[in-house]
Amino acid sequence: MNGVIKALTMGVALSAAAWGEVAQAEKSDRPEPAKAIEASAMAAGGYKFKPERGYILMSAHSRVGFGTFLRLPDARDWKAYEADLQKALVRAQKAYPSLVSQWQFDTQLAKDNHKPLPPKPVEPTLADVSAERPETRNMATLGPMFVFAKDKDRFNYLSEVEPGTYVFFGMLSQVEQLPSVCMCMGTVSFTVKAGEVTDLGNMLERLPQLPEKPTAGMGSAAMQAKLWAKQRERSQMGELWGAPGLPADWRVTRAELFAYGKMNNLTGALIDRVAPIPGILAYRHDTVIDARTGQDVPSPTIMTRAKLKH
Amino acid sequence: MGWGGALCAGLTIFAVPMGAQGQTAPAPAAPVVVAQPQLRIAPGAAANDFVIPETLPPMPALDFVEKPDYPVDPDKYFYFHRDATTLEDALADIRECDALSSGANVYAGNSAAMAGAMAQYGVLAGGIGGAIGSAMADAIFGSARRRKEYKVNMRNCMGWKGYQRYALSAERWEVFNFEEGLGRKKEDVRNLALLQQAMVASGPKPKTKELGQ
Repeated sequence: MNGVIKALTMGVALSAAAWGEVAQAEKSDRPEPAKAIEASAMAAGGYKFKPERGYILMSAHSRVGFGTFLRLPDARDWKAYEADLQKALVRAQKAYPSLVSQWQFDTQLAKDNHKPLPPKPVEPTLADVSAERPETRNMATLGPMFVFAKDKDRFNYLSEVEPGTYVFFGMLSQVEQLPSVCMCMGTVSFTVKAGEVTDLGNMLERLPQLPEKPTAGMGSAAMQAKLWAKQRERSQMGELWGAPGLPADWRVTRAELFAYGKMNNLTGALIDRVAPIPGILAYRHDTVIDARTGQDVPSPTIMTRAKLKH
Repeated sequence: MGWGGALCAGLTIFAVPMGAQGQTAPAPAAPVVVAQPQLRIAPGAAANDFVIPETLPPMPALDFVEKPDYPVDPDKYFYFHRDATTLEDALADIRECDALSSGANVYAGNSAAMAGAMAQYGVLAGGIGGAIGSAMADAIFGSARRRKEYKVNMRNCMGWKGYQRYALSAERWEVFNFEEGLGRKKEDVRNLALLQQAMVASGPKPKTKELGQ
């Protein structure tokens, strides 16, 4: 019994060490994750401005507004992704000889018992291993928690992020009653520069309003119509910009939005699209159009995230 | 599931099998790198790699009589149609909507928010409880929810593409449609069903009531 406990303890310790090593290796070359900032922490001296980082500011009339923004992967992200794939391949190749030994044992056992022979394991290649997609490695979710500042009429959210081009991905929820939504069929992008605050205003209240009529949803048609009416009401609320409590010497720039094409449903959410925005985003059926130029926005071939079965 | 397992589950929510990975949102900063691993797609994964056979499968029957004791449920059983649409276009549209709609991830939650919570408030705050709760809830309730989400997504996607939706009886519907909950049907079964749906979508205009999106 003692031996079993010792073996288990050693196993846990080894697993923890191995996990630590993997976590350390996979953390390398990843941008620092987004971090919500609270005004109280800032006032207490717990937060200092970082000129090498970017900031996203978002406001809403109520706490319900929240959104997830996806930073478009750059060369460094793709390189890190490929490195992680290689690491996963090395791990799989390390495990392969023991799979073959097990297969030899099982084959002999099957022969002795006149049972069907098991298939030989295939030596792993890059196509057989996986790593976290580069697109989901650097997402920033603003709201509904971690409020920067609030008063009775408004909530402000401020997040420190990696500079780059961000796409409004949707609303990713952890609450079962509130399904996650991906703006997979048309959305907007904007740039976040290092050393400045990119102000989105209350765009999450104003932009993803449903189209001319209620769309299909998880609830009944009556509930969908009610939600649609509520969302439309919110979309017509006044604009909010800036945030009380933001240090006066921080440079704040209003976000410039651009039409962005379709995206894969990376998180397997309900699909939606941002409603047309005059001068920025338009649609011809499901084709996304850059309203600045009148040109179609290129969209990738959409792929399922489900594992295929042949 | 032990703590280590729970932690792994929490941290690998977005790990996607290579076979399921496809082209993604354009990455303007790295056009050269984009043409690398993510293009290694398993056969059958691409939306445009299915070739319409010379001999088409039979056109599904769409006529039915509504039984008083078994009313039609238009939220569950429906088909699409758009005027002046070729079979090729209808199939491309249906396959794109199918790719967007399948693989729903009902209770996995928001890994980004979880990562943020963990970074700020420690692993326990963001990871373990959420991972166990999500996995259990998903196993219990996920299947029915996924089936519904798939249909909601198909309705919205095809609606934005300009297709109208029409009701059908369950018996007629089952002939050329499939339900997927926790699993996925084999690709040849799916391909046949999607082709028949495209034949209907590009076929004669239905005489029944248009249901809207």
